[in-house]
Amino acid sequence: MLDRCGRDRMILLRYDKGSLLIRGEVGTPYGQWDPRVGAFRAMAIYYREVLAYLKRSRILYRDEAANPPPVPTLSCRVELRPYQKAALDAWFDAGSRGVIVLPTAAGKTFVALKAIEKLNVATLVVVPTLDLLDQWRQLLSSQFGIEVGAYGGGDDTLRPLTVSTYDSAYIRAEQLGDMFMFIIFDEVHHLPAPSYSQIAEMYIAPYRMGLTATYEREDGGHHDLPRLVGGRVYQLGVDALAGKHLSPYTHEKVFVDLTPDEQKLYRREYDVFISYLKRKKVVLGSPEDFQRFIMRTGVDPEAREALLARNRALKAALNSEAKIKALGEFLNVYGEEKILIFTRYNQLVYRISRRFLIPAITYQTPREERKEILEKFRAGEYRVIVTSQVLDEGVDVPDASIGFILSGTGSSREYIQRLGRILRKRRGKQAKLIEIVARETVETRISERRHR
Amino acid sequence: MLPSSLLITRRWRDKIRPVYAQLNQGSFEVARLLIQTYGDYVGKTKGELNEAVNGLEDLGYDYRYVRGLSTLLDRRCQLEPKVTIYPVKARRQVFKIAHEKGFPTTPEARRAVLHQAARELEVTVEELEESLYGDLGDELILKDFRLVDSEALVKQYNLSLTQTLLFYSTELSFTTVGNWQRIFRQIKWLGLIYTIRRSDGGYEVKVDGPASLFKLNRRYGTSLAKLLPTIVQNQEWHVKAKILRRKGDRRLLNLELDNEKHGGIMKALEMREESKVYDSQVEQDFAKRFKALDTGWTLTREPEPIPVGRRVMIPDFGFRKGGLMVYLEVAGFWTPQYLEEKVKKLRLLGDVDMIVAANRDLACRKLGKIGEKLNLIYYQRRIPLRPILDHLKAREEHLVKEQTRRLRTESFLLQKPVVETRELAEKLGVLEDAVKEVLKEKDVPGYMRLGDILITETKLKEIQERLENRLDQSELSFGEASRIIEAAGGRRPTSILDILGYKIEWHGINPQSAKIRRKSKIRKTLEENAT
Repeated sequence: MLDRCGRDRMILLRYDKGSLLIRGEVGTPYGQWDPRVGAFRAMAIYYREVLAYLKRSRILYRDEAANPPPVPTLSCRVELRPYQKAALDAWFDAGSRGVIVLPTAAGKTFVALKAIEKLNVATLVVVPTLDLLDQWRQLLSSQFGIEVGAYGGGDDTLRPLTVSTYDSAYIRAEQLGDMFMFIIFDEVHHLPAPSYSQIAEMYIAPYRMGLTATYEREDGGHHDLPRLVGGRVYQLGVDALAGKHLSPYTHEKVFVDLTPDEQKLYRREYDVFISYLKRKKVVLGSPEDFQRFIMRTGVDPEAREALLARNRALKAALNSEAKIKALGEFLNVYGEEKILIFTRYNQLVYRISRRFLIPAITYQTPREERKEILEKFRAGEYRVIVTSQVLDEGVDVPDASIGFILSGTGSSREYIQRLGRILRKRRGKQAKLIEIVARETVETRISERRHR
Repeated sequence: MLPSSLLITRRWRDKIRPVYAQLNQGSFEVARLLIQTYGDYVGKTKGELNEAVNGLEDLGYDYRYVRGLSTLLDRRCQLEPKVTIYPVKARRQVFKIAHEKGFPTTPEARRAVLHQAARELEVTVEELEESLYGDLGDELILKDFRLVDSEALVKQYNLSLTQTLLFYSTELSFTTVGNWQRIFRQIKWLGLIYTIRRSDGGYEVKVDGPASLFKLNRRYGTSLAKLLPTIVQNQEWHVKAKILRRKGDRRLLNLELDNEKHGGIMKALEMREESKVYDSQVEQDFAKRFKALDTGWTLTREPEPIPVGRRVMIPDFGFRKGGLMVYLEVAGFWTPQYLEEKVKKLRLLGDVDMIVAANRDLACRKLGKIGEKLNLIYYQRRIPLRPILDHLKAREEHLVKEQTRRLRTESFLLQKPVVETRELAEKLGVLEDAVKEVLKEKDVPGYMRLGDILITETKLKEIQERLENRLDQSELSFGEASRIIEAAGGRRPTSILDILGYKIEWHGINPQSAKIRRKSKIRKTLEENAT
């Protein structure tokens, strides 16, 4: 439309490298004048708000910001359980935005599938690991019967339904930000990090869903989730589901003594560390204390030596031969069950894999092989997998009934999720979590911290 | 670029800088040792190499320096697995049998599983064990290592260290001379946004990204780091960056680097060749021929960007002399529209002096009136030097006239006893010819003019006394006289000797054998003047 002076008064909305460019003579909320290009610019996250404002104010505009690929009619055969249905309704009521908190194995993904079906728009699912990438991809393509795109782990294909890792979604925000109307953040507690939060900010997607089992972050980052995705719209804890939809579990701790050699090594190295702390009157009470100590190692060779000694001591305790022996005994007992073995150190994973000839998964495992191992595990061809932290989140490993932890970092989230993994529903079956801990080492303390 | 954990910095007040490896024997020695170690471990496993490298971490140098160097050396390694059979296949077989037979918890049971798998795969047990995880990082064999010079490695390390600090940058500003086309192309390719403004004498370009508008943002740090090598490969540069070191920091730190202090210590290992700097043979040929002439003008390729509205124009060449700048734009294929666009831009610029050299053969249509508005020259195959030299000369003469006029009314305040006209011109911000022209017409009180130097009478007298004292003792060679004059702060000994009334008797070309003699008449005149 031209005004009396013949100028084009139409507002033009365009997507520009992770942000919205608003050309025209009207300022909009969230828009800021950018003198570098001579136009208003707004964060892409406010696309929906800017559009709503223009409509409400009856300002003529042309919207060239959204460029999603065309979407076929989507339908899936998923039947929701009552609590899943309630979660979905709550999310729609909140304006198709917000975070759904359900314990691991409670079928969060099904809620997301139903939302995709109902919205029927170009959708991006953002996931933290390559395993989840594969799993979502498989699920989406089998449910909707279409080819699913992927970004991450060497893949880069764009389709109406696409799955991406957080890393790829962050790195490619400028190119992908205008392609999707609906964005799902799986394990959404990852999102409020300074870098990842930019995914939320640089994508225009007006519909947003966050999924997690643990809404709270220790650093308080979850307070940013309402802005990035929408607030918590539905929550159900583990206890509400245990015994009904999830199998109950027991938790045992098994203490083993380090071998005499290991004990000697441990004592010697740990003393180096402790005596440094005493001499320099360093107190390591909080994570901040520890960060300060790490900084110190950059300038003080003695501090560095102390840190290295501590690491050697910890490694001795975590990688202890005694624990491997204990694990061997357990394998003799539970060899016929489905077992997942966790440990933090890749080296230990391979030691166990070589020793007991058990399939291993670490970040070094080739993608195809990782898929093959998980599939065989699912199909029952493999009964045991040993893995490091890469499998930590939400990988769908059905009916594993026993979990071993051979080392851990002692954070509460890790504990819940590792636990959640073996809580897959299985008729009449009690799941068991067994921690193997070296006696009287710091590891006992890590293990205690985990329960707090 | 290195892992952030290997970054070493020093902070003081609001400044930050990488702690660079000094270009000294110690740094080189560590680099040499590492390079040697990598070379020695060709044929061994990466795990063994890593252990050897770890052993070098405690030589009294910062371990982060050692690891930084080895990170760079890792990129020069070619690794490959040493296996008899494909490891994934080996594992598949072994795991299958282990599942069938039950997991071996004794060495005997384990051996039995491996035996069966080896038999089925038609390899020995040893080969099977070796292949089982032969594709793991530590088991890979170092097949080949591209050697590198230790000094070059240390310089690359310093550059990488700077890039690593730039990961934390929120914006980068720089000035430089040359290579602009490439710099802007890269800025665009990296998805960055620039703003450009005049800063003393040149243009300063500030680079950040679209979202920088909303909040401090380190998102573009990696891209800014990638831009750095292109800038610092120029001869002259000045780089400033704002650094947000830690997430919660309220305060931005300043990183500031320039070619004089840091140009020598950092350099990319793989540099572009000079010939690739030019877009075309025609340009390269022109630069070569022009530089061969002694014109007093400095020729620079893509000297600086000129802001035109929100865009920039980067002329192909700049000729600089004194405060004068003339640009040359080479138009290979062109249309009247193209030239018209140029005219429009040039009008916006006002006083920019630009010559456009257009290829006569590649003109797609006859040029109408536009040619008259442009400083246009045609070329075929080669850009002619004559019209360009004429233009430069005319500009120079015009300016000399103008400056001479201005200088006539000014009085020169000199402090040093001996001043060259070149220095004086620089100080006054004019061409040397203008100074010379004015000095023909008027004197500087207290100074005498000898060719292209000005010298005080007191200083002349001092020199004369020294020479006389020396001459009283014995014969004086020209070489020694020159040394006496220069020791007293004088320059141009021939002119000074002449004005002081000496003549030089040459015996061959050796200044040591040339003798100094008095021309008594003139010397007397000077003495009378002095009294």
